[in-house]
Amino acid sequence: MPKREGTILVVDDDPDIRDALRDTLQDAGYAVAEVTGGGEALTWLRSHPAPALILLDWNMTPMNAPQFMLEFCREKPFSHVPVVLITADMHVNQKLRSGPYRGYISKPVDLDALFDVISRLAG
Amino acid sequence: MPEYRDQELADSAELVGEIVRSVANRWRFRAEAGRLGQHPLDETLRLVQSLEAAARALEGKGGPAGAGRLDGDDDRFRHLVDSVSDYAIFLLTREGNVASWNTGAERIKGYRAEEVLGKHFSIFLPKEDVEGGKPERELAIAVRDGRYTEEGWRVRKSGQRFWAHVTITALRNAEGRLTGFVKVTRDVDDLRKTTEALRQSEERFRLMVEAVRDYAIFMLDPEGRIASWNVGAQRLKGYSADEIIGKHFSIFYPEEERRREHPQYELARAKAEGRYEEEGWRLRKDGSRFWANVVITAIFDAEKRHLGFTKVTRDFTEAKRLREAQLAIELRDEFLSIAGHELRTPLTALLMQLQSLARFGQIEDARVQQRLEKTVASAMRLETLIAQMLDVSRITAGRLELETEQVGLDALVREVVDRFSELAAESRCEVDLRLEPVQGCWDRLRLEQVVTNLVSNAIKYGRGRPIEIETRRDGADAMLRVTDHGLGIAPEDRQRIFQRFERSRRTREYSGFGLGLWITRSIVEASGGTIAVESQPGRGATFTVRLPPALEETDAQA
Repeated sequence: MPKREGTILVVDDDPDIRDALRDTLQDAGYAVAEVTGGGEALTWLRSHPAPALILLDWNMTPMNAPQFMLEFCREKPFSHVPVVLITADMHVNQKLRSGPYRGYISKPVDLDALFDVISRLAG
Repeated sequence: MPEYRDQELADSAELVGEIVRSVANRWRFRAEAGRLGQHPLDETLRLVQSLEAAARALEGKGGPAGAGRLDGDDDRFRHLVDSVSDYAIFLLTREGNVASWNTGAERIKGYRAEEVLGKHFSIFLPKEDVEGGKPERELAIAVRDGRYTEEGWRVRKSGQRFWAHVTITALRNAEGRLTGFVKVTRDVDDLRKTTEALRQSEERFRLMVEAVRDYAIFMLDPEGRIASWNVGAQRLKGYSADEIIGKHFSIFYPEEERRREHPQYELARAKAEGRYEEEGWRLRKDGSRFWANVVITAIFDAEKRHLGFTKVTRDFTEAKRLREAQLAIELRDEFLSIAGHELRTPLTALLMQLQSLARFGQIEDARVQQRLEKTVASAMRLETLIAQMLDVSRITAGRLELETEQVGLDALVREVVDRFSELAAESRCEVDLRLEPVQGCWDRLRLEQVVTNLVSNAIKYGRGRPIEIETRRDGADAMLRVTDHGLGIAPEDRQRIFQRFERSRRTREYSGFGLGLWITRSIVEASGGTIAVESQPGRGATFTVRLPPALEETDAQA
């Protein structure tokens, strides 16, 4: 696979899901960084160059997606980075209205849908 | 006018004074105790004061010393006795003939003085008493004991009977020789009627309690011994009144409760707090247990003396079972929900790994690739089953949420059929689409689930035969019709297939939970629609879904 520009930050509290996303994305040629929650994601973002895309799990403790987005939007250096929500819930419209998300991925993850969103937002 | 025998009265003034005082005392007591019934308090107190004054006057004249000093005081007393209207107060000769008459006597008995003076007092008694010699016995007792008292029937002039309180006091002179009698009669008919009414009402209440069948209602004495028993108690506990009354109520408690003195504890709480309620196991006569709801209430009289307890016991065994069954169902649904979510996460990871492996892994061996694809298919099936499980737990918990938006039913059917095109071709099912454009405001994903379920069933059960799918308007409603030409559904199965965990008997060999049509029906009904099936066994089945164009909004603005 050809190397692609930019890094994708995976934020998910489940280790299996993180592994699966990392392996899949790396296979597709993306650089991947992974963190286990919203707080850790903010720390990572403050200490690294802005990534190309953030894949954010909805349901995490202690800081879930909406709580993360509140903090994220205040941070000028990286608040422009597109965030894609990952959720197991069938209905996403209400969740998408809770923050400036740029797209969503449903669990179980359909690979075509995943790559569509990524190529649209991160190239 | 009444005729007094002054000398005799003077001899007996002390005694009459005593009688008058006892009458006064009795009324004063009733007034102070608030037990006057219909008698007005102020009038009663006035009467009491008059009587007390009269008693004082009379007692001052008692004995030999007072014998000569009757004069004016005697007139006043005569006047007083005359004016008393609540009591018949009159004198009898030694023989029992009426010797004086007052206002009260006239009012109560109905005779005027001139009609009655000189007559024997037996005219005031019922005929049968007179024939039985009662008047003579009354006087004989008064002579022997100084006084005769009774409550009994008396007769008015009109012949009407009334319930009377009667006192006959023997009068003696200073030498102790009998001079006659004072008779005081009070009409207590109203009091008797009230008492009788009260007694009857208590009796009715007692009968009612005794007849209650669904509650054991009984009384305990202060020590906890059973004092009464009703039909409900007999039915519930199995003992008859004869065998249980007098026994201690701890007999109803299991051994371990008795050992820790729980029955005594209950009584102590009831006595201290007025009432004690609990649920627990109790024993029937045959030793079997039942789950009882028990209320014990302490009873006190007006003077706050503890009289005992009432105990009401109900059989809650069924209610307890029902509660436990409901709890078990809730726990099951909660478990399904948690299990579903927990299973789904690793399955999501598994599916992603398998699919990316199939896509990016450099797999040269075609057999490995093939088996990888089969593994993906198995994992997908597992995912479908878990999704169904989660849907069931949502539906049973009433948490099936719909997110409505504008949906074209015809376009949605086309998408679903596209997805099934490969499977339909494999199953040699030619799909005939007759799609009229139909728009509505529905939950897209849930509606997609409905169409998916009906189409996949049609392919599954109608293998090798054509399938027709139709959408059109039916009045204001949207209609979706899916027809296969497969096994069909026996008439007795047509309702059952929409139930949970049910499948048509002919389709036992197919896998799955048997939840698909139940979930489909739940979604259609939650959307305000209906689903029905027509079928000729062996010739296929037609499922018809009707949906209103939008869910009835409760909020007019929405």
